Amino acid sequence: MTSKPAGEADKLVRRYLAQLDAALRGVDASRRDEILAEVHGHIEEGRTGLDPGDAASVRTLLDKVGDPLPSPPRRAHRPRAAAAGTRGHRG
Amino acid sequence: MLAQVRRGVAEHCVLALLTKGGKYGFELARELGARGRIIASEGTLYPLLARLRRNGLVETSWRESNAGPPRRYYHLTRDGELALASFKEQWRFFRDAVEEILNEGSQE
Repeated sequence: MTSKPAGEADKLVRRYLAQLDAALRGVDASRRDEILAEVHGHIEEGRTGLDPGDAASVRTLLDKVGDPLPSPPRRAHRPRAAAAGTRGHRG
Repeated sequence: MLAQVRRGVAEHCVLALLTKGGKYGFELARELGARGRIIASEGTLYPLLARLRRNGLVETSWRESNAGPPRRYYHLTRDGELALASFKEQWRFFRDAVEEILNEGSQE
């Protein structure tokens, strides 16, 4: 049995999700929860089939997930763009 | 401005990927990520999906998975189908106009 302990890999995921949570401050709570849950699900999906202790593969996975938010809308400078982001779809 | 164009394009590409049936986030992320930076990284898919859901263009359901945690599947709504059809028309018109101008520009 060559499974490595899950410690470091799990820690990487927890830290990533904490960073994501911090980056999502300012987003309303239900949307934030939804995005967090989905990204967490995505990561867990990516880890199925990996050795739970395989921290290197988790790092690769998290690199692909990337920063989930583009640069935040700057309401003070581009109010129109920010408002457009919150309006309903037109199309 | 280009960021907004790309976001609009990415949203409609997601809708297009759902035309043949529901998909879950991970598979959408992999499909989109594989093709020419439609999304900047896989994580950017999730705020995008949340927005599509909030705007009524997709709806979601949960399914159990043998492989791991339950999966949230995304499906097109009728509004999503209409939005996609409208986008296709606008995109093709725009794409053809740009191509024409670029081709004119490269002729002697």
